[in-house]
Amino acid sequence: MFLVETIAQAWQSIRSHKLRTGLTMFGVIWGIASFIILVGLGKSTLKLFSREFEKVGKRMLVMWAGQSSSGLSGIKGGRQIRFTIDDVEAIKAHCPHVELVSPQIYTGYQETKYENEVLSSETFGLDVNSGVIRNLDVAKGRFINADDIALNRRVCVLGANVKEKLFGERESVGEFIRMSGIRFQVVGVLQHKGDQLSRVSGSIDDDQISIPYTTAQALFTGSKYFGMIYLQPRSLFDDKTVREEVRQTLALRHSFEPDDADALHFFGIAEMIGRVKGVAMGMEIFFGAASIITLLIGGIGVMNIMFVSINERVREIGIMKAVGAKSRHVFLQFIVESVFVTFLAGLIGVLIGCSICLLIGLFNLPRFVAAPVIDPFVMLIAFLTITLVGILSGILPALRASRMQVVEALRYY
Amino acid sequence: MSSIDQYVVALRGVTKVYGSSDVEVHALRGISVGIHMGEFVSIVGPSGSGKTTLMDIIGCLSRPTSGEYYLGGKDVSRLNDDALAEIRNNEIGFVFQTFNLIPRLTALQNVELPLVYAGVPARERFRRAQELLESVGLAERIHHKPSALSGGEVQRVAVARALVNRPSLILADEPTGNLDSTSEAEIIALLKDLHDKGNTIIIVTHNPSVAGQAQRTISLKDGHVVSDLSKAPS
Ligand SMILES: Nc1ncnc2c1ncn2[C@@H]1O[C@H](COP(=O)(O)OP(=O)(O)OP(=O)(O)O)[C@@H](O)[C@H]1O
Ligand SMILES: [Mg+2]
Repeated sequence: MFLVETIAQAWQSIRSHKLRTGLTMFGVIWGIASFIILVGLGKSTLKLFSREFEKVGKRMLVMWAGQSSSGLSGIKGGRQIRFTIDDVEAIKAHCPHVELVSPQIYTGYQETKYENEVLSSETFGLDVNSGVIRNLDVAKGRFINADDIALNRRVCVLGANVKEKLFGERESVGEFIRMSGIRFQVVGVLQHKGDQLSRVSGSIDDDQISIPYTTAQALFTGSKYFGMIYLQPRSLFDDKTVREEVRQTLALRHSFEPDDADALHFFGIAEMIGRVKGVAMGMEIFFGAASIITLLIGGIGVMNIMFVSINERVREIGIMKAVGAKSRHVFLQFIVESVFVTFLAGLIGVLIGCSICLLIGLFNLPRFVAAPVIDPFVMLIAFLTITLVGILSGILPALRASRMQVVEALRYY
Repeated sequence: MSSIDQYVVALRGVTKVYGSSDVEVHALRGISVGIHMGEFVSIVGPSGSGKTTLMDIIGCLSRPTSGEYYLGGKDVSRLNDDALAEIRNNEIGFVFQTFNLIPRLTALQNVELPLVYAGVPARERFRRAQELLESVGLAERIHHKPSALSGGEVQRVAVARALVNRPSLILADEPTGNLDSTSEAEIIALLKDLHDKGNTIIIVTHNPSVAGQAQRTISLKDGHVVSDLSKAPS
């Protein structure tokens, strides 16, 4: 209850010095606003890049075959490892942390024709699961299914740009196109993904054509071997475990040492995001620290104004004490005032910071620049920091006030 | 003085020395005075004789350098600052020459202030402060700030504030020193009225006619009591 009274008094004393208080608050306002904007920028950058990377597959882990550097049980080293569909089956059977696995057969650029339109499109032989692993979402029609695979069907799924270029506004599902002269029926069109920071090959997914991997083997590569397997761990944290499981499983089948770094190569979303996280964290810490320092300087301003205010109110402190205020009452009065000023400034800073974040979002930003996010956790940190700065700036002035001798304070002119 | 218990205020050999050892000012040089419950006492004396210093000690605003001070039978001469603050809050009402209201606060808030520190709930505070402001004739002025009131009105607010804690002792150090004669008369009438209702009042004054209103007049000079005269009740 005393606190309520104290806050009311603090409000009154601030109101009686609007300009002075406002100018003092400026440092804190700017400190908090920049804190929110800059840390938000770090966070949004991380989000943007994570989202960009996830376009290629939200937990995608690519494995490609290398050369075994040493042999096992009498077999020579230096062999090129080649995958078969049996490897895929073995991974399914023996790697519990692998959620999905599929072969990917590269069939290069194919001359693609529909009526008078001709294109050169990168083409991949994929499996039923590939769509999920690589985030290839169907906009129209369907993706490659088990029957397509079993029957080596000459069907294809078009990337959004391929469809656009060949068909324009026209219906494509059910139509026939030619790839290097061979007729394929279009069974599906993929959703538009747009530009990608990370790709599985030279072209973006929108420019590619997917066909059943069995068809790709039969018509284009003419071999049961292939060089890449795509994996999806059960979670991003399983990335390491999955690599280990797969190495163990394939080492046995291909006779190489499980710890042979050259036999299998991996690259995954987990490590890409990890790298960006590192950069974004660094950004956040640096920006955060810079704005906290601004905030602390603002706090020194508040401390200064509190000293000024106390020197002007010596008589008042004398009166408070004469009518019964104890040291702690006086101390609290001025701490509350300091926290109040800082908090008010902080609140304004938060509002300004958030407004600027939202405002930036209204503009057409360049590629790979994201408007700062307004993060509740950052808000919490901001408010805790403000309160702390308020208390710290208030302690010395409040102590001075609470220690004044009542008689001297009463007769001070 | 047979027993300290019969007095509200009992001083024994109280001295007060200001300053450091090389520039000592002996403001009080051994004061022994006893004041009964319900007395109206005036303190007079030339400037610098120690009247304010004495009032400060009686009001627990400062401690004697030596000697003893019993307030309501309790030795308060060696208490710490917070304990003295509590006594001022509970037992003493001050009226100062310079009014000493907080300019930012309204009349009502100023009167409520002692109750805030006493931890009295807001409704009760408001009720008591309002009642007292009415009794000093300021019912229409309770939401005015001191700057919007005349000197006499400000001092009446101060009197209301002095009474709000129902103190056992009301101390007024030249309460009319900054007032015109009309306002002075009002304040003195107010204090007399309080005395008639049973309050113990000690007033410092330079004005002989004000001093004449009191039952008892203590004269100080150079930190000594030079006379202590009581009027026969009329
Ligand atoms: N804080 C102080 N430090 C040093 N000397 C002081 C202090 N306060 C008072 N004195 C001195 O003590 C003596 C008594 O002062 P005091 O204020 O009690 O006198 P007074 O009787 O109230 O005078 P007046 O009628 O002018 O108000 C004076 O000589 C004064 O100069
Ligand atoms: Mg004096």
